[in-house]
Amino acid sequence: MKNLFKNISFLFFLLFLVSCQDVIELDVEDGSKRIVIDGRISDRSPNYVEVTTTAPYFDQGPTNRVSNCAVVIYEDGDTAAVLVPDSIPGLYSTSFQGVIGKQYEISVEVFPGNEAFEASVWKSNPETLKRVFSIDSLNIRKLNRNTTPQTFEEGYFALMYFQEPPGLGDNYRIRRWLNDSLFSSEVFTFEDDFFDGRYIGGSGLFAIPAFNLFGPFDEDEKDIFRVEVSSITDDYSSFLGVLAEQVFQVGSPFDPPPQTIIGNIYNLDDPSEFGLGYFSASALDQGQITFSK
Amino acid sequence: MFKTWLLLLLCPLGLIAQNNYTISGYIRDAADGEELIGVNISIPELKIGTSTNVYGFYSLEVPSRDLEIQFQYIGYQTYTQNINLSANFRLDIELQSSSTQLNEVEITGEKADKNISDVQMSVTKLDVKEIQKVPQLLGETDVIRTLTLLPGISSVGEGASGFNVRGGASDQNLILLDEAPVYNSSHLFGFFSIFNADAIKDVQLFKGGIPAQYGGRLSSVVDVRQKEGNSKKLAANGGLGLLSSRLLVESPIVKDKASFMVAARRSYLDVFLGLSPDETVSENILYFYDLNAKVNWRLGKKDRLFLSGYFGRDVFGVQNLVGFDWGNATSTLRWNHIYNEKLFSNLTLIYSDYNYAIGTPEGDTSSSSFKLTSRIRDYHLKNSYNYYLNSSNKIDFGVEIIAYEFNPGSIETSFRPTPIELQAEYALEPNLYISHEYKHNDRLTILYGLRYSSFYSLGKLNSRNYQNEDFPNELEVIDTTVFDSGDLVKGFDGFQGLEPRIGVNYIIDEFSSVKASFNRTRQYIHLISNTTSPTPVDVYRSAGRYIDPATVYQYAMGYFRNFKDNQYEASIEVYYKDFIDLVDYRPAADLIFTEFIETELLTGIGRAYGAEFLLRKRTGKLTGWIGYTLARTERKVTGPTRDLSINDGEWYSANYDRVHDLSIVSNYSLTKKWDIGAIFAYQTGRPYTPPSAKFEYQGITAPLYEDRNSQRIPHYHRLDLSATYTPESKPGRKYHSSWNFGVYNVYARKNAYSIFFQSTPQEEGQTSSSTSDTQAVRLSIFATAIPFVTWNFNF
Repeated sequence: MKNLFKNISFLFFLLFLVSCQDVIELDVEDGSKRIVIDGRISDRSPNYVEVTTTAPYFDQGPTNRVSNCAVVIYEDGDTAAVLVPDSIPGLYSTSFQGVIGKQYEISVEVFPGNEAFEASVWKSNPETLKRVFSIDSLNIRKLNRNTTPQTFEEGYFALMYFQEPPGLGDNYRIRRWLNDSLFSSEVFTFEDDFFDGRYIGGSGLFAIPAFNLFGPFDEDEKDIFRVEVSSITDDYSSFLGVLAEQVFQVGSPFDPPPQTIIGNIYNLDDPSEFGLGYFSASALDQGQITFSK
Repeated sequence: MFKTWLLLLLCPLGLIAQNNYTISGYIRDAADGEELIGVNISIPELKIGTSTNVYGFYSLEVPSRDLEIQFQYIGYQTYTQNINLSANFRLDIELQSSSTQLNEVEITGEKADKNISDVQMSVTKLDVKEIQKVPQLLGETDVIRTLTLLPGISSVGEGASGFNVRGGASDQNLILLDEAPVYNSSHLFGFFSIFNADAIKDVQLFKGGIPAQYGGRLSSVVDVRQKEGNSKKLAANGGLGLLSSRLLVESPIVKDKASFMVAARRSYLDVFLGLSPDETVSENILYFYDLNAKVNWRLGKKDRLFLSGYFGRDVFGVQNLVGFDWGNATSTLRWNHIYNEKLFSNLTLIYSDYNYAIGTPEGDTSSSSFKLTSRIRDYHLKNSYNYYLNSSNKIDFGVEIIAYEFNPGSIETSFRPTPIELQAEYALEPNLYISHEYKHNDRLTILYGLRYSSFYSLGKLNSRNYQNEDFPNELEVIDTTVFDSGDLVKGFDGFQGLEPRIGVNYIIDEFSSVKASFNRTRQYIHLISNTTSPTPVDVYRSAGRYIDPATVYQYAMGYFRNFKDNQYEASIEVYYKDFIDLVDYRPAADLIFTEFIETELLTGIGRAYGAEFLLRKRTGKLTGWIGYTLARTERKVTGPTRDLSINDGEWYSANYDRVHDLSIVSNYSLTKKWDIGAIFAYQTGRPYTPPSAKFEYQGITAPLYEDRNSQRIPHYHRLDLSATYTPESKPGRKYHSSWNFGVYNVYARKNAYSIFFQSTPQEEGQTSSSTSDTQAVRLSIFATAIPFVTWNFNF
């Protein structure tokens, strides 16, 4: 809801035509280097963990990657998989698959002499792998202001139909790709509070319109649209919420206050010392649809 | 009965003199019959005096002999009368405005030393006529914006909604319009305030030493009184400006018995939008309007009845797809009664409502319609008394009961047969107060009082129980306690509700005095907002099982001195404030449409201290003031864990902390036709948080913020100029008009509102690429010089 409001207020500033944004030069003090762990165990294969470090804020280019770590995934407290380094430095993978209902943790050990980061052992808090809905179908339809669902612009849109499983408390995340290119500048999560157990995309009185995933398609091109839905925990959902707010909700008088984006990674020897990033557990479903006029 | 009781109570304090009589009455403006607030009434020979209350009533006990009584008010001719009372005497006076004289030279010797003699400190009175001649943004005379140019009052930035008084958050201001609380004082997200200056008679702001009659907010009281309506003749005034047009009509209904005032204002930005050839612009709606109205009757010499109301709304629409509107409505019914020449009473009934709606436009029947609404309503019953015991003792006392209904949110959608509604919250806030102003001698006056406030959160309510009651967590709900309608959910009473208010004034000599004050204030309702500037969608929530009332202790001292026959008023005030139980927010708190708000909150403390300097000239050709504030405002939030604390639980600068704040406001009467005005403002930049590093997570480059508010944005400064041209009106014509034009931000400084950090925007929108370049961006709200012109008329 805040986003909607923000967009509206933004429009107001545009209308006023007197506000302006300038890129400026600033000196900021660099903080200490921290480890960043981006890992996920899903109910599919393969699964990846990426280990990097922070960089000074105004350094341009990608951040440093941490190779030669020992990365282990635990299932209900027992060692389940030792990850293998990928050809990309700092990336580790496994063919091990998680199971819905079980708890997962990760440990990452950086050995002495590592050039990228000091010797240390990092752990995550346990994450429960929760259920996800199955995509019933994907569909492309022409929509405008008078159709269901309603859209601002007229054009072809990708729609998703699914049955939300009964029982409150499900959290989901959606990731989207167009022609294998991930929409990385977004964090799209939702919970089942308002439509628990309902069918999305039904018809008739009080029906919930189909889920509008993408559009309008460029009518001159052939596009392949792909979607991944995943279950996420409440904790991960709030981590993604903080991340999205701190990264995307900037530039208006109504910005939220800056927060440290802390995930579920901590130092084994000193649990008050936090790492960045998150190790999450998700069940997945995927779908793909091709658009051509 | 009650008089006897009071006399017994006060016996040790003052002698009850014999052969004294009381002179009392109302003081009004001779031109329009408006009651004048704060007029000085004095008997120079005896060095005694009083002033009119907010209804224009005064009462003074004097000995029975030949005396000269003076009535003095800034901007009015002093009125002097000889009296020799042999009985209580009612004397209603009409004062002539000094501007109606042909002679432009100010009357010298007008003794306006109220700021020296009055025990009240930390109070600011704004004269609407005075601020109409200084430069205003888009020519829109803005009471709140002008108040922020006074010491101790600031805002987080241009166009920000709300204001901060002595380190208080913007929800800590009790904004009263004819005694009714106004929950959102802003139009257009904060660019303008809701007060139509035409309809306003008097504005007083208390930033410290808050009188016992006021309560419910921690940091300030802004008491705005609407005009009563001209009781002498039909009159109208209005104006056309770039932003809005205004019209006010006032007239007697029965001459000197009953009159009314009605005023309206509407902005027309949307008219300009409609002219755009671009459909995405022309289909947008954006305007606000205000309606003010008041009727009053004098029912004989002792009774007076007022009915007043305000209704204002902002309406916003995006391409007929999304609508958003919000606004306040207030109404006040008052009955003034003079029991006898010493006892004045006021009985008030108040209704106040703030609500907003956001969603698809009205009448949208498409299958994806939705509408979110939220509302806060309150009802007050208030009875207050002024008892003028004798020239040394004045007692004020009263009682007030407020009933609240909070409706935090309701969503209607096409895909549900019934709305999704958050539970309403109900509360009662009963208060009592008494205060005694005691003039010990010519030099020493003490005003001490006690307010007793209490608050009861009431059912119907389903309230959750958590494993850790001190730190409610969404994931640790044990069960729910059901409170039936009217059941007590949580009461706040007992000693915590005692709010002592003390003020002392010691007059050193004719031209100077020292004052000191202490007040404890409590606040039982909180605006839930974690953004830099509050938004219209933020909602008030009440204290209850998990949210405590906030408390502040304020200590202030001041030295007041007047120069050159009171033409110049100067003051230095220092203050220290201790804030307890302030509401703060957990990371990524979801504050909109959240039923169990306690799981999103943290509690913090605060402290603020500062020194305020003011030099003000209220009469003569040159008027205005120079104000300077040196202040700090800090907060501290220690949560149960590190990620739930701010800056590791250490003190940090509040968002609205401004160390230096200088304002120069002036108006100069060049000739009879020309007035020029200028404003210069300088402020330390407010704090911002620089990132100490960046990291990448799933293709998103994120900042790492570790030290909140550790840096400051560039300092702010701005110059505004204006000129007012008043052509000579033709002899015999009652019609007058004037042109007001000028420029806001004359040298077009790009003042920073904020500095924010983001990934360098990519060329082709949202598809991924490996770039993780980052930049700092300065946001300026009024980045250019903004000219304005307004035409005003009256007859």
